[in-house]
Amino acid sequence: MTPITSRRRWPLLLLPVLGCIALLILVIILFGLGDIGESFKRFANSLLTSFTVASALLAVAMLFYADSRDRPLSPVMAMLAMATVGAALTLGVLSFRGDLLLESNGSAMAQILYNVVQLLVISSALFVALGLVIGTAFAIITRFDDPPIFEEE
Amino acid sequence: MLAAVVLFWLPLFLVPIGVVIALSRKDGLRPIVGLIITCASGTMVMFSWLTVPDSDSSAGGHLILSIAGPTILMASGCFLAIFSGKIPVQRLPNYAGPVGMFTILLGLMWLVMMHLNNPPIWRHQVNPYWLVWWPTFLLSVFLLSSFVIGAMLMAGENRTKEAGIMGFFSLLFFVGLLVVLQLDGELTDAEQMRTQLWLAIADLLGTTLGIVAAVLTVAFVVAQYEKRLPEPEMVAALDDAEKEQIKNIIEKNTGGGGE
Repeated sequence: MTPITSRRRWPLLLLPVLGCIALLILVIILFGLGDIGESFKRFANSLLTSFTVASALLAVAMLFYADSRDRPLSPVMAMLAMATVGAALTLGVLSFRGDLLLESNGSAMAQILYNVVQLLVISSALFVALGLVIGTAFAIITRFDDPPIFEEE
Repeated sequence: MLAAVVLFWLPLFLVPIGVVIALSRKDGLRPIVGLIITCASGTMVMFSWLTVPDSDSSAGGHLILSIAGPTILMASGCFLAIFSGKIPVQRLPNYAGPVGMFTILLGLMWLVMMHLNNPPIWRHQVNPYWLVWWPTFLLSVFLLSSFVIGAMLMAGENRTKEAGIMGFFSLLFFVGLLVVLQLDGELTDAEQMRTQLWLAIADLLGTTLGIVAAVLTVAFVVAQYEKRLPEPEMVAALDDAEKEQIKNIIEKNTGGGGE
């Protein structure tokens, strides 16, 4: 039995993922991309929004971090500071570099609100997909008998 | 504007807060309070297209409500399929397995029919967020299932059969993706979907990188905080009574005999 930490096992994790990415690239080459003018804007907006929102949520989670440590304030403040930096960066980039605004949004504030709803939609798609994949994987695993740990003598 | 803040944005803000409160402690009233906050706020967000129809953001709530049905079907299908399998506790009857698989399939068919025939309609046109959600979902299932196949092969022993079935599941979604890119729906067209697929890749990449950056920041902050904590104080040596008590406990647990 090859141990889980063995280097020989890592390709087993990476190969299916790389195979899927290769298939996707093939699909994009075969079918074309459509209109991709807004793709960088969408990437930048998603990156800034998800960093800000995730930092803010993690700052709230830090409030409950390690009850045995008397709920220290410094990690909370640090995460709030990171969320503030993310929000300021988003507002700054959207206000002073107007080319990151999507066509349908006229102002930085409208774009930020749109980004938050967009994040809600993308994260819901991700969570539903994650639940379905993990649920199906466990359903398949529990269908079959566990492989024997020791071979019979 | 005020109505949108009270009936959409405030509940949307309260949903994750409720989840954090519910998960922060297992005993006492806190989990129940957290759950109530999450459910009430989630309901308000989902029905915001009725309560604040003038707000553009309410399209997000409308979409979540539209996908609630298939999501519940798929979740209950997974539950039935998992707990009717070979698990040691609380096993459901055998027929729950096929019923669960059928329910998952029903949920997926519902989504496919939404794409082909009946997409969520908001303000007399296709909900713009549906065009974001659907390709993101297909792409996420395809990529995540490939990751799960890899994990099965890497961490599991003799799991090639299960990985093969999971591979078939992944290929189904790949075919679904191809169908979406080739077939026009009743109110959506293939060209639009090709654009949306590329934008979904940009969205997914940006969102994932943003979340990973935030998690790495937390890890760094916590590591720095832990590093600065003072060394714990020295404790006094054990007295004779404590040593005797420890000796008794060890003997009781390692001596054999008894029960």
